[in-house]
Amino acid sequence: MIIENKLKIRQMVWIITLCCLLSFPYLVPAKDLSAFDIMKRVEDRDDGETSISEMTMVLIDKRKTQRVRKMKAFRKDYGKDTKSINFFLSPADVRNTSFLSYDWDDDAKEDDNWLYLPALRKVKRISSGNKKDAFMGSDFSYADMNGLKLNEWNFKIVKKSITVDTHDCWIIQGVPKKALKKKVINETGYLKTISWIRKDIFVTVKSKLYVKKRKKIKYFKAENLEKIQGLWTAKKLSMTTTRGKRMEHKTILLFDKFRYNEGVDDSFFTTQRMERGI
Amino acid sequence: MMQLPYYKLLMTFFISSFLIVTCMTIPAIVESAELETQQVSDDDDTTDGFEEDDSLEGFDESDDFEDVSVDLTAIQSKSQTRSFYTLGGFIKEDLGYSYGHEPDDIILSKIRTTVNLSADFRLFSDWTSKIVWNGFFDYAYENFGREKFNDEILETNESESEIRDLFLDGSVTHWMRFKIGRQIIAWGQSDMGQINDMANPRDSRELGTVDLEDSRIPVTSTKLSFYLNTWELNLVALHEIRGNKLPAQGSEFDIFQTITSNGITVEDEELPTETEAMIRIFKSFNGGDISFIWSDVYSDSPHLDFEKLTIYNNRPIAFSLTPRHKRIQTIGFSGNWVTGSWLFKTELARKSNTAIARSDILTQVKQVASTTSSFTFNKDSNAITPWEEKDLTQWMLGFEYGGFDDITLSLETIIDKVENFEETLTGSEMSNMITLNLSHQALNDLLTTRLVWVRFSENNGDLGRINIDYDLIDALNISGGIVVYEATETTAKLYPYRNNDRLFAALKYSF
Repeated sequence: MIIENKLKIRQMVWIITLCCLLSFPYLVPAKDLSAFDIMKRVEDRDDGETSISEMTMVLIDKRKTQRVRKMKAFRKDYGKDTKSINFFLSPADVRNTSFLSYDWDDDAKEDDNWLYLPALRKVKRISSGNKKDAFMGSDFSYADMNGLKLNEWNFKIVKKSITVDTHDCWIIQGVPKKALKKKVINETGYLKTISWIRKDIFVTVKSKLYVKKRKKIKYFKAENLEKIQGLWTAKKLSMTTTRGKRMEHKTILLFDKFRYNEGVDDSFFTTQRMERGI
Repeated sequence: MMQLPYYKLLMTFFISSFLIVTCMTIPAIVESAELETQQVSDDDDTTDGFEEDDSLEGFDESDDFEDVSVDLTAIQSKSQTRSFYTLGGFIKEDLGYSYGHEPDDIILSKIRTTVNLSADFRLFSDWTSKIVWNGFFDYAYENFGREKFNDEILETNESESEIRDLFLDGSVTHWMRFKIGRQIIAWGQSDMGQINDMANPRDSRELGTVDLEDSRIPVTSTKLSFYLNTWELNLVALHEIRGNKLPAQGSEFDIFQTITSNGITVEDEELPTETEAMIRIFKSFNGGDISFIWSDVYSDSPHLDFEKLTIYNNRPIAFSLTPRHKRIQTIGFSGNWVTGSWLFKTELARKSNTAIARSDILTQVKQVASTTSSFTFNKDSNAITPWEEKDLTQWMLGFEYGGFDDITLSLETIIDKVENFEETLTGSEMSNMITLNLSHQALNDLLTTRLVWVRFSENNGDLGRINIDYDLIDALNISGGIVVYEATETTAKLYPYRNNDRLFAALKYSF
């Protein structure tokens, strides 16, 4: 039972990736940027050579019942490749579970993922799984965590200026390219995305994601933006899944104790470390 | 008798499979059909697929999903502060209802309360220690009348208290790690068989009802690990020899019931004491892992050794066998390979000097009796040969597939081949076991449905289990299900357990 339950944990590391997608150096917005250029600038942000953070995930169902998960995450860049490891602190039934991931820049290489289940006392290699699936019961899918492959989407600026919380933003719509439509929808589950991008720091502050399955709409928000060690960081992310304008489920991710570029030893990103814990 | 017939087992399996697969495939089919019917323009320019959006302003409007109020400060303030120790554990209540039994047998077969307490200590630098105690008490026997059960059943099933993990673990240098104490060493790829995973015996008291995570039994051992890049070398000495926890004689899963029903006495199990040894070389590479394993250990499953035979007037009047453990040497390989949503896995092992039971024990007894008037043969006489020493090759091939929405599918087959097989041996030269595991998650992982089906070749029977788990709140889980045993041939491995079908339920709180 534990194995199946915890397979969802494997993509948890992508939460950190997503958070990093939302942390940026200050960049002066260019007037003539295309929609794709803007999305590329969002993607190509400096997220530091390493990061350490603690995260709290709050899962809220339609009856407002809450479940809380806590974890600690470590990430390190190796050129364009990234290694990350996540340790679960609570709840008690998943405590000491850990997930290790090697995210290779080369598309020809399979990403490497391992899961350590303390009940089994065994490090288990796992496959990438279905990117449309929710992970850890949250409203974030694996595709959300990994980010969209920009070259598979067409983007268009649908509004050149709109104010969100006193900040000037673009609204950019994305749809899968025609030739890749079936593949992209199958992989991500999304028919269309609409993103509000802050012009001053190139941060996606909110998104509306149109889900193919059961015609759901997911609302993403990035809040509590702070500049930590020179890098813009969203300390609160939320994703709300709705159907027919009714909330079905909501996930809030709270990040704390963010530290960038402080040096994380290579030994953290090994299967031995998974067994030993933090 | 309410034995579930064979067709019901199959129906249970197929209905469950159908429901899961239907849930899995219908949305995909509908989506696919919708995709086919969508109108798209012929050119693939950057405006392809865009439409005037009517919902740009809808983000912060009246949707009630924005009204969720969460006291985030309170949640974050619960953040755990690190200390040198962490306490944890769980309390679990299990119920089992054996509906296939005769009315005079125990029906409510389990009313068990289990308590598990653990403490992790962070001692200094990179050194840690762990202690886990586990104990249970089963009220079913008191409820049904303890006098109706023999001492062995009560001793084995009614209560238990044991230290499970108790070890010290740390790094001597950055390339060497040392771990000593009672621990679990899980090697290999198979989730069902013990091919190269030979360090820890298993809890086999209730066939098919215990998950692997609960079934491994820790043993006292010393493990030295050496690391060099992506290579790892493990040297293990196993100081404590523990066999599989076997069902008590006379219990519903008694593995010796066919033997004892022929008037043969099975004595108490004898455990050896000599240290065992294991070595593993492990390498991880992009897309897979490989291991080479050597071990010199005692088999966790006992064989029945000749103990005593008493002949009186050319008739056997007492015949006894003793469960003992054979020392076997294994050289093996295991590996896995990931591609997309697929994980392929394999294990291969050559085991020397295993003990294979003979099928002609009673014939041997008759022959000895026919040539002996009155005499008592003890174990040193070798009057009866209940087993033969043979080499065994085991091969596992399997896969896991995670490409379906919210479903994980895994399939594993294990093939056993007895070298130089003889007709006097039980079983056959080649045998295999197939295990299917299908798991579906729903309601944001609150609900997990799992189907396990095991088929033993040569008509040795089928075992099916359906589990439904639901997280009531964080760390409080309720589960229930059914386990079904099916065997029609009297010689089948599972035939003695054909009436042991069971409904079960559990409530578990972790802390």
